[in-house]
Amino acid sequence: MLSVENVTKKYGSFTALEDISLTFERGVYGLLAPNGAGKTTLIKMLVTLLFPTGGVIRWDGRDILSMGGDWRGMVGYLPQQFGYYKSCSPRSFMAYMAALQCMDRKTARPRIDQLLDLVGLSDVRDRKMRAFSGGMLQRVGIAQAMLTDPAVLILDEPTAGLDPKERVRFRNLIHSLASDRIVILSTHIVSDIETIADRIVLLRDHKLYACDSPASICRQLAGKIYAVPAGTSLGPGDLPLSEYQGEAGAMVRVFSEAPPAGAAAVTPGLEDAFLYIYRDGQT
Amino acid sequence: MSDIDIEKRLTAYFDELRSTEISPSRVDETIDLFTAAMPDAGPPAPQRLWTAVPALWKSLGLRGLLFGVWDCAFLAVLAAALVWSSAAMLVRQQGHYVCTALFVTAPALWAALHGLTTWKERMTGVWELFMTARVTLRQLSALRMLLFGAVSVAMSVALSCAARLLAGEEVSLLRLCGVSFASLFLFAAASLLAEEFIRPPLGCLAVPAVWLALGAALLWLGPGAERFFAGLPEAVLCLIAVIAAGIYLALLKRRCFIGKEGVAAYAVG
Ligand SMILES: Nc1ncnc2c1ncn2[C@@H]1O[C@H](COP(=O)(O)OP(=O)(O)OP(=O)(O)O)[C@@H](O)[C@H]1O
Ligand SMILES: [Mg+2]
Repeated sequence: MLSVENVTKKYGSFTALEDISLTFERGVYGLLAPNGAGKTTLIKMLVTLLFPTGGVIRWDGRDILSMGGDWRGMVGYLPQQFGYYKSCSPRSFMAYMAALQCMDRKTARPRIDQLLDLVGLSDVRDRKMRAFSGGMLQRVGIAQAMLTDPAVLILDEPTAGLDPKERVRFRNLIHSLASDRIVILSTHIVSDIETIADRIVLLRDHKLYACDSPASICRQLAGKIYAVPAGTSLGPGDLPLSEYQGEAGAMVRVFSEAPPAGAAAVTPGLEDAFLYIYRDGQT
Repeated sequence: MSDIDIEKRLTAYFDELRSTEISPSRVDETIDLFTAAMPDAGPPAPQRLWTAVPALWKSLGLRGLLFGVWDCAFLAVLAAALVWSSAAMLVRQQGHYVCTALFVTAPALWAALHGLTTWKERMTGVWELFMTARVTLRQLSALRMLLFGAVSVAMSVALSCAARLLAGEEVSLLRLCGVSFASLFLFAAASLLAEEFIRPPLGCLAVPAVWLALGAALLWLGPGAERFFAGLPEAVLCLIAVIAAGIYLALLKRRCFIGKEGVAAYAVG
């Protein structure tokens, strides 16, 4: 079990994260927050690229910083910007990662082939990565993170740059990988995690806002989200969230304590919650 | 069993102790508990460079050590050859500047190897990924620098011999070796020190910049600088070289074993 205990991270006088406490158990955790909220900062602390200014992160009671190589050996990490050598093939790059992870060559080889197959890259496994598209590189990144069959898989915006079809593939992949490990992924794209995340971690004002299941986050807004035709004048307490094309033309989803005239109540989605929680440009 | 479990069970046990009689089996259990906790609580395993290096070498080998940076190694050799040959030409034209030229250019190969590999790792962004592997990039680079150091020492000997040929009988080989080793290890140790304690990119650029300035100053001083190097006792030169080499190794050890925040300047990319 991974626990983040009262962790604070400051960059000089700027506080990027303040007093975060979280526990992670098996399943998918979605870090959902706008740009600059501190998702990458939290993730980098989990992979020991950054050290907390205050508080500790523990794995089964042991401080991950003191675990050193043992900890790094059980974490798979895909950085927000996946770095690679252009003139390498996915296979040789992963073989090198395996060497750095101290895997022995005999177990690494079949594992690499199996993973490249899993992410659908076995046809190009010996091609230079120079010629790869963004989506292909991202899949190399995921395969690379899975190399040691990690107990904790940490992906920083893994769906950035993937097309819709790839996104769906990716969701299924993550779902299948999450059965016996902790998967932590950050994103600001709600639909990426709405269906697969067991828990959503929301950061606001550099603090932990909520860590809950998508359903129970949405439930907070039950009976308060309405759809009205675009152009309807709204009351002072009403908050327009998003516009969409309904059967009867353009519609607006609105947060409102009391139903506006001519409005139909709709089931709140995670996107409504996201837009509501970060309504005033809060990060 | 983790520390927390042990702690919980011990607390439970002591609570029980206060409320009831102790049974002998419970005492045994507690002793087991304490012994189970012992390996964790014991002193940390000694961290020795000479045991870590062979292990790292075994798992990586030369190919692993220079994986992805062969092009940098090649370029570095080329650059160093260029620097040395132009220095040799200068010495032949001007004469009598052997020690100064040697002092200024001896770290060229080391600097180029280290600079180019670091630069490539930063530019491609792989360093961040490699920092999170079991063998971190810090350890990898320590091992690389050991290799670079060894290659540079060998080259320094060769250079000193070449310099002696250029200089004729005036200067002893020991002096030339002393100058080149002192310069190499001073440069290398200062580079490591700067990287360890000054934020990048300044930490990476500071020493080469200072060295260039120093080189220019020494050349400008001309005969004065040469007299200085020729006047230093050989023993002093060797002592400087040995001390600098010691500092270099100590810093490499630090790099191997002491973790450091691994982000260049910004969490965002
Ligand atoms: N080294 C640094 N020094 C100063 N401020 C920093 C540093 N790294 C990050 N920050 C700031 O900390 C905040 C959080 O950054 P972080 O990269 O963690 O956000 P994020 O949630 O990952 O954003 P994004 O969605 O854009 O990736 C930002 O305001 C950023 O400007
Ligand atoms: Mg980020």
